[in-house]
Amino acid sequence: MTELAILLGLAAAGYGVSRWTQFPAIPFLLAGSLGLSATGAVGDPAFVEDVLFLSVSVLLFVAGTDLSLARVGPFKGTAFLIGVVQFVGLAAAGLGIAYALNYGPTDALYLGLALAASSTIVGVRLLQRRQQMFEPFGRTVLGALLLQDVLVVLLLPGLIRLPDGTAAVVGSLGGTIVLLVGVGVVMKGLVPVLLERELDAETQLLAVLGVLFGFMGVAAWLNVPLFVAAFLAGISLSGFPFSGIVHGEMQPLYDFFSAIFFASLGMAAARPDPTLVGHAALFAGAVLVLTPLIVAVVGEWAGLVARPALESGLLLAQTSELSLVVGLQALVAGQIGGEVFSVIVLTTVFTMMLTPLLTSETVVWELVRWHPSRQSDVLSEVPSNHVLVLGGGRNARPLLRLLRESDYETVVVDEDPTVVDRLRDRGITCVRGDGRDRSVLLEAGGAQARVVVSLLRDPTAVGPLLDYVGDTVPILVRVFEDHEAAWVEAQGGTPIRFAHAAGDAFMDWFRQMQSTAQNEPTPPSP
Amino acid sequence: MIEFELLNSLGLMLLAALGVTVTVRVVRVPNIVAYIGAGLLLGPAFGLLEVSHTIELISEFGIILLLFLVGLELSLDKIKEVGTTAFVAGGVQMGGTALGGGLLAGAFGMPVVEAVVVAVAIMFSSTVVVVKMLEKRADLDASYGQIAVGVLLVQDLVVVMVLTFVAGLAGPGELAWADVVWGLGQAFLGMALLGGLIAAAARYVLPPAIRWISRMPEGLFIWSLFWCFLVVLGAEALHLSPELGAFLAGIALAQLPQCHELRQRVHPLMNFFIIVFFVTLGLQMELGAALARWPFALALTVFVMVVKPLLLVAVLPQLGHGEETSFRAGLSLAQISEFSLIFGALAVSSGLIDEALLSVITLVGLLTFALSAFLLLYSDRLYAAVQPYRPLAWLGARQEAPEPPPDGLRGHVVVIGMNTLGRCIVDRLSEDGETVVAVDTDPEKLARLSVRTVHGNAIHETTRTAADWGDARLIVSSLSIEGTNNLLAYHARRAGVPCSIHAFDRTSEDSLRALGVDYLIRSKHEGARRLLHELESREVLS
Repeated sequence: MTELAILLGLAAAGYGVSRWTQFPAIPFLLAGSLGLSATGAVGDPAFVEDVLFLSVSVLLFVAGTDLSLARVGPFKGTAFLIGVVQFVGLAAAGLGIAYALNYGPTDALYLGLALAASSTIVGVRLLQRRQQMFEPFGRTVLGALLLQDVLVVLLLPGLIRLPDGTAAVVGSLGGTIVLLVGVGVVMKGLVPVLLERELDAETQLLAVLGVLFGFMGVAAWLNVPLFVAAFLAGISLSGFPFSGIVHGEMQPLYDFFSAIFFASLGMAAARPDPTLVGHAALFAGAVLVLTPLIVAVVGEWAGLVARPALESGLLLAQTSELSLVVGLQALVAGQIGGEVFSVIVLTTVFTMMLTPLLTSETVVWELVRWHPSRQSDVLSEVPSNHVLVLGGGRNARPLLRLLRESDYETVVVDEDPTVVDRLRDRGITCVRGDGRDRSVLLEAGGAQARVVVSLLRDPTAVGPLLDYVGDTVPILVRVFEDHEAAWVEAQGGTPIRFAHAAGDAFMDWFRQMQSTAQNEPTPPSP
Repeated sequence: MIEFELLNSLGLMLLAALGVTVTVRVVRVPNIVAYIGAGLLLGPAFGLLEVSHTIELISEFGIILLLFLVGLELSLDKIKEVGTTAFVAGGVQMGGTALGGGLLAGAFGMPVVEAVVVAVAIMFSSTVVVVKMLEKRADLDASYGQIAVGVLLVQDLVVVMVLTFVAGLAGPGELAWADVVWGLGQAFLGMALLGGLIAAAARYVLPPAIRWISRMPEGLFIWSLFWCFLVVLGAEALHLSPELGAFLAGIALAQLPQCHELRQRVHPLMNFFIIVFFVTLGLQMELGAALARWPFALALTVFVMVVKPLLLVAVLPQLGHGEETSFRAGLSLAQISEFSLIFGALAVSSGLIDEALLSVITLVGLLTFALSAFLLLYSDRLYAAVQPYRPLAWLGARQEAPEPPPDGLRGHVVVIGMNTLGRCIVDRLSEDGETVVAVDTDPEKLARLSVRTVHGNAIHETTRTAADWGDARLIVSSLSIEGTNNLLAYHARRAGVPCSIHAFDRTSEDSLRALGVDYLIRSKHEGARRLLHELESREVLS
């Protein structure tokens, strides 16, 4: 009990530091577990092994239940392309660096695979925190992450049996196919029955755990890695609405076991020496440099505009929690040593620590400025009596379409070079730059505009313009929150309250529904 | 089956538990009976499994979480309400049971020492079985449930004393009185020290710490579990039971606004671990020698199931409790405790009793756990059957007014998510005179509202029930979380209630339409319309 309490204490400390620094918790937990390993406070290797295997099974299982392609929406193609190219590119880079550092072929293979995928936990957490989860590039990133999870898990059975020869590899892959058939059987056969029965939470949990251990039992019999089976068992329950229904029951298990897993993982690794730290830094450097580069180029080629493509790359610039699982499985199978596992753990710590910094607004903006634009940024003369629109992305499209029919010239300010290029191709005057920068706004004629419309995510971005011409030029600012509206009003602007507009439209529908006779059909949704 | 021993054992245990649960479901056998049955099959019947150290740890963790959860359910007011009753009723019941049990054992010709061991073993009831069944029936909040839990906790205190006493036994029949007195003194001092530390933490440390970490839900969960473990380790260091520590840790958090969220998170984790506990209980039962002494085992079982409840039923009316509360509280404690088995094993190792008598106690445990689970599950029906005859009237028990119908709402609007959009809708609906129930996971957002509020995540059934979901006229979600919105639309459709859901982008619109949502709240679309209207009013657009 004391050992479990120590692991929970470490996890609690990790989450505390994470809450304080706003960085993801995983690297703190991993770093803490490496430190704990050095102290020898949790000395029972059998206990650590038990905890690791149980927690990683639950972790992968719950990750599998969350695997829904519906969440990617219409961006599956882009996500697939980004996911595959990044995966292959980083794996090749990892393999190359490992060979250059004189690692053996098996070690190099695992190091390559460890570098190939990005972290779903970190990616999703950052997207949620920045409220970008459901933006097109957020869905694209999510799609790429889910694809990479599947790739890693499906490659594992072959890789783990590689030393046993071709027949073993084929056998393991065959076993995986049998499990995939099982996924279909559970999805189509068992899940509808469970839904129909409406079991109480406890029996439902037991049934769900029964699926997990059933898959693992079959996997053991088929000689397929158990972690693969746990993930596939999760996928078998990932259909809507069942995954959502069990999510409430499974999330606490996931939170508990993932905390314990990351807090104990470092104890399986060798104590890192300066050489291992150096190697890990090199691998981390490759991930941090190559991932944004590859994803930005592929993303833009696949249709994303520059900034989201770059942000996608930065969000994906870390190794995955599945890299740790791959490493652990290889360690258990005796294919890699504790040193290689340490390098994988340290690379994950380094890259996960740096991701939040890389995705900060300052870094993104600095990198976007380096983007090569096709067209000149300079306007021939400062426009006047025009409609100045700040932000020209997807949200501006309907407005810009209507404004083309207006008598007034429209000028758009946007920082994204691809957006600017596309608008200019459509004959819209654009100024490329930061909508918060007074000089950019003045260049776009902010002081002489008939009206300014801000569609920027951050309403306070119009602060400099409100300070300067708020008294003479009407400035309309899109806002969602009440406190934002209050701020805009106090600065002399006109807030356009999207939430209130939606609330009013809802009330119109509600009153209409009320007045409609009970037997009459409900008015259709717009 | 599986190369890792723990996964192999857990897999067998959970699959067996699932198999037995599904098999006996048709005869409405309570789950815990099925779990113990699965353990009996795996262990005593077929010898497929042995209990490893980690499995024992998982079982222990299950009990700790169960008691932690019970603590989380209790406010200080509730504790004050049942404190006196628990001490008096618990004392009478334990004393009466021990006396009667001892006499019964004597009647079967047992020597005094064995009779005393039997008497002590049967005077406790099972905290785990009772709490699990109360929790399953959602009766932890009911008066009879609180009395039952109170009595069980008083018994836990006595357990500490009994263990101290047994530890003071130097050998068969020899008692080191100095050790016993020292041990009891330590226990009482420890209790006072632990209680004082927890009270100080609950007053000065926990509220700001928990408020700070609660912005990170998984952090809140892990911090709370760590707090629980800290107190459990503290209790162990002070020679108190870990269960008592977990319970006190739960009470300290129960006074905070985040306790609802915590209960919803701890509950599934407890379910997972407690299943393992019950299967392990079955695995460890040694019943072989008991069959030779079945008449005594049977008599003891009948005594535990009849006399033990009657003692409580007799004393509760004298403490002012009504017929139904007394009847159902008494029925709840009609079993011995898992501690009885531990105490029996200690008595064997001290040479006080032989293995055969331990088997008898184990058999009584198995029978009373199983039968009392049925009694607890169907206690309302049993009471309905005997109530017309008013069997407790002669004890002076007052007839309780029938339970008032739940003050459920009907025809109201449930609004989920108190972001700006949600608050706006709540305000507009209230202005129109509608009855509104606001739901959110953040208690601070709900505190500012003047309508009825429900704290919790609407994907949980308990939260939906608290919002009278099925009787609502309309369900509204203002959340910008795709998966949750889809699930709420699904639940609304299942309940036959119209719904209006926030569709924050085109992709979510498509999936919500496919789910048959009655009205999509398209915030971006409506906002853009307002913007265009504003531009029209300024004659920028015609």
